Amino acid sequence: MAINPSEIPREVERAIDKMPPISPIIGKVNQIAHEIETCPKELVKIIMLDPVLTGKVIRLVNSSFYGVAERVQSLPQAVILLGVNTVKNLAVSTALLSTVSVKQKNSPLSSEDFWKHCLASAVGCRLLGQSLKVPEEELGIYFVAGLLHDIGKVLFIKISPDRYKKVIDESRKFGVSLAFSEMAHFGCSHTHAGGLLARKWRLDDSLVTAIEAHHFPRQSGKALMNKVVAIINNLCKQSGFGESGNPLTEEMFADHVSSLDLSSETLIRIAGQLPAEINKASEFLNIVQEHKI
Amino acid sequence: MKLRFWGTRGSIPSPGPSTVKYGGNTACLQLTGENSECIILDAGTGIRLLGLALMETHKSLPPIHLLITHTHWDHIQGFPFFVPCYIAGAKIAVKGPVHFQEGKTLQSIFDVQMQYDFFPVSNAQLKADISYETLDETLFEIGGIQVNTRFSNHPIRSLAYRFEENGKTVVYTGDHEPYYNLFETKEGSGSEDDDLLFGSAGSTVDSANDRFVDFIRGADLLVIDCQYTPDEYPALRRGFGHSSWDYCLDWMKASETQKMVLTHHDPTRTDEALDRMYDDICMAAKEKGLDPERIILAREGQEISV
Repeated sequence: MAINPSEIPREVERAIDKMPPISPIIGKVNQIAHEIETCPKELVKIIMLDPVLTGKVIRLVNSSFYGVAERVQSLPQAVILLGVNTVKNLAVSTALLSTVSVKQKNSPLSSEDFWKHCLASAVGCRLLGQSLKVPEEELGIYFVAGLLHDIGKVLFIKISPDRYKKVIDESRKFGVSLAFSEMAHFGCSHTHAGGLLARKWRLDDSLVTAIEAHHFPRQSGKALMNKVVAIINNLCKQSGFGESGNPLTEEMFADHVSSLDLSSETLIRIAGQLPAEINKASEFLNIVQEHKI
Repeated sequence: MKLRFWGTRGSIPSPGPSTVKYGGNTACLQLTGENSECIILDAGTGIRLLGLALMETHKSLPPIHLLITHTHWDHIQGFPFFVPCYIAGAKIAVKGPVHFQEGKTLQSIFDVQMQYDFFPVSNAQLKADISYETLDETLFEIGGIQVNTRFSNHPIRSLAYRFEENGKTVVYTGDHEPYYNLFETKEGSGSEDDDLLFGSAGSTVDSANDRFVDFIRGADLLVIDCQYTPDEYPALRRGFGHSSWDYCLDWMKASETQKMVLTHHDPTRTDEALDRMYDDICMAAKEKGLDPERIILAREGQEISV
């Protein structure tokens, strides 16, 4: 039976309804992550916009890793004892990790590798946006677009990790695109499902488009951001930053690269900056796993 | 116990004619107890001379325990010039804290300092038997001396050390700034919500500062970070991770410390400026009912016994 990609399979629809809301601080994460001096009050207020995140940060601060002698019960207390930067890094990492977590029994993608791919894409989109002279205030949305571009895969893994394993295996075995294999097993692609989830979360239209179009960037809306996400997604795959389950790396969108007047040096420079960010992230993941948070 | 100062300066070495009296090398102290083991506190540039002295006075080197308060440059930069590192058979146990979330070990930080871009000999090429151990708040023993550690307040994770032997106590704070209320606003400027959110911050600060005073309580000798004057701190230098002498005096009184040595001198402070600062300290000490003779400024080469 032919599947109409515009129809939303019911199980995908149900999975979207069950997804927890995205952290309300996700849009601010990029902003605070790149500030040299964050106002302590502002930091606490931003984290507290998300009660789940607040709870996680306090639990982490009380883990043996931080070795704080007295029991920390509030964010202001954590900031006084550990400093603004430590609490900021902790909150930023926790918020990003919770958003793109595929931690689930039988998940065909390792949590750590998938997170690395998403984080590398987020940082890469920000860096490429910067190179392309995107105004500072818009770089936050580039970061979030990179982070969330594969969010549709999180949905599929939540629906059926075993079936998504088949998607990946068949895509590898037959050399077909992941989207094609997803269509066969879930009735839509991760770009489509991710776009639907982004709409449900009421994310900015430009983010919805970037998620939907990251394999086939459209010349509509914020065309520049779509191209950036597509290029960085490929750069991360080709450079081996993390793992998104997609065996195919599309051509480097030569026309986009040339239309943006990008030199290979720029892309190489960006690729060179990513490992440090990823290492930092994977260390944090180790802490979270060790302390079962 | 005997304590000798090999480096008294904070931040960066400051050699020259204006720092001859108090010294220009960065943080390094040597603690000697009843046994022959050698305890070194911090590896600022002062450790170079200490290494040479050890080579001169010992036919065979004693076990060396290098306790690092934290890994900022002025506390580790002398390590590559510490001659015992190059002696086969020398045993050096390096211990200290590592700042969280950076995914580093104490050894990897020392390795980086000696990578080829910065220094011609790598850490792996050193001939001594060097071990590394990351410390948190803990209690251990070195040749009969009880060592207790406590976190201090500094931009990266830092430890203060307390040493006890035969009923005598020496405390070295490393770099430390009083815990302070980061959420304080000028009176009347905060909203009711702010009061609710940050109202208890003051008591967190008080209890963290009390905990620090408890750690130094009853010290026979307290070596304390005193980089700033009250004119500089808190007005200009809050958040830099160092204290000013007025706080040190208050802590000395509150902790009933017998003798206090102020160290980690600011690199801009000349001998003359330190002498002037000392006069101010003595005056303030008298006003607080403290005996100025029990307070001294650390000088390179100085030795104090307790």
